[in-house]
Amino acid sequence: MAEASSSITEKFFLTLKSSDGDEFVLEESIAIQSITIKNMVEDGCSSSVIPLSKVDTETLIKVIEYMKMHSSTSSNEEEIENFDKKFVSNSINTILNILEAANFLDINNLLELCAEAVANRIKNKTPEAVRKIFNITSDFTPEEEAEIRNETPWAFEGNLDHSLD
Amino acid sequence: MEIAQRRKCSIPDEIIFEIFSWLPVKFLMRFKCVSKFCNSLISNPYFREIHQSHSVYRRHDKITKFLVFSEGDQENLYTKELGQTTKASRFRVEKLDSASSTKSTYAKGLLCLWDPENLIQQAIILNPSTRETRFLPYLSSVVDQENFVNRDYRCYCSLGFDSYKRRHKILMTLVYDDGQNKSTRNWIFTLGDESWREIKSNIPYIMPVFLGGGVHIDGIIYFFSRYHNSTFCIVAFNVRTEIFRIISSLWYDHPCGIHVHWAYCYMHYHLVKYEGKIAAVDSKSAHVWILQSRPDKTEEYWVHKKLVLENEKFRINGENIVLFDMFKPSLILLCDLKKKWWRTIDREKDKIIGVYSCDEDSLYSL
Repeated sequence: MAEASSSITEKFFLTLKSSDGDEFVLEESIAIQSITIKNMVEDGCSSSVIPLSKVDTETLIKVIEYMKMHSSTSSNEEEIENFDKKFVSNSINTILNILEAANFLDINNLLELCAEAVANRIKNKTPEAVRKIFNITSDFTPEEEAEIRNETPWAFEGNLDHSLD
Repeated sequence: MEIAQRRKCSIPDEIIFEIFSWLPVKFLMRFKCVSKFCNSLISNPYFREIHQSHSVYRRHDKITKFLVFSEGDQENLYTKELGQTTKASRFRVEKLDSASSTKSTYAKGLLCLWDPENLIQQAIILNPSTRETRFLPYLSSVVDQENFVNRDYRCYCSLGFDSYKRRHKILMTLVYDDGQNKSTRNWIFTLGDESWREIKSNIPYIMPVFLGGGVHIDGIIYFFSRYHNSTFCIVAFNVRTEIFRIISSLWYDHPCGIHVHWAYCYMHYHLVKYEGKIAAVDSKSAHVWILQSRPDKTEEYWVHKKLVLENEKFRINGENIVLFDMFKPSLILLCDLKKKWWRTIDREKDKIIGVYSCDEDSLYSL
């Protein structure tokens, strides 16, 4: 009995440090939704500050917000659903940053949520807009690209969205 | 604004992989030209597997599509969504002759087209999502046999999916005159294999009588058949075990007490999928029977519904039954089992060869 009550009251905290140098204190039970952090805790590297060199402050705040909502026992399914809906209404660029962080931190349901959201947001766009959004340059020659486009002209039917968000 | 939003670094390939695994096939095809990596994804077996596992989230089961066959058009095949007049997709399928009596069968994202009266015309498999088509080899063991094609025969194709091996299979049943009697032989073609393989039926006296293809639900193909040359029944074929089973056919004792002849069934009865179950519809008298089973699966029984003709505007939702008339292929029959209505629509310019609910949008290889 005494043991059980102590495990409820005794909370462990971790400090996460963003690439901008900002530190965030978070309950361990919430933070270990990230498999990357969980592995660090299990390997005993969590006594000091955990540096997350690939995650900037803005993104880390969002990721922590998500982890808090998804671990809290008080939030019901409807609350979580509404939270997720609002969460993915951020700009594509913000979601892409969260997506990269989720991939690095290994938070699978956040990764899936964001990947599906980006897919829904880009699907009606032109290949040019997708390149700009992803900031990638084509490695095809113009001839190669024309050839690939001509294989499936039907895939370019419908309303083409040129916007970047 | 645009400049402020530009990313400092490009999105890594692994993130593109994750995002693309949620895209409908049409947009995977559109974004092939984005980069070489994007182009490589659609042929990557691991990507295909992940993409397929997400297909349940991309599914639009509220949309029922027609498969339509047009004549003299540049595209000889197109699909239309129910309630829409614009063509959802158009194909040009080589060797598909507008004069032939093409039939179709659908299972898990793929269609099979064939001509019941022409064994030399090879059956066609097509993926409406990728618009890829492929001809199946013809039954050389039969067709090459002397004089066979001059005999009286009909062939029936049904497409199914073996969820254990994750492969599509086509069951082809040939009903032919062996000189004295009508005989049947069955072959299986597994997608990915090279040739047809003959199977021995565990029920030797079944003889399919259906005009469209069999109906596939969760690994079982259902089709109408005659048994011992007379009794009309429904046969369930297990795609994985390749075993045939006759379903209790009490339902065809018409509730009005009319004895129903098999020829009547042949003309007016249809098999459809309704809320994941097999249902039989009498399109003339608007009776519907749905096959239910007890929770412990010990017994199957038919639930009967009688529909009333309704002229009010029909709302299309996922639970409706959609049929077309084999003898007048522009005529569509819509049944709303919740409200117990039915009505017909004449599509005049369309020659419908099949109706299917697109329940899968995947990169299945043919």
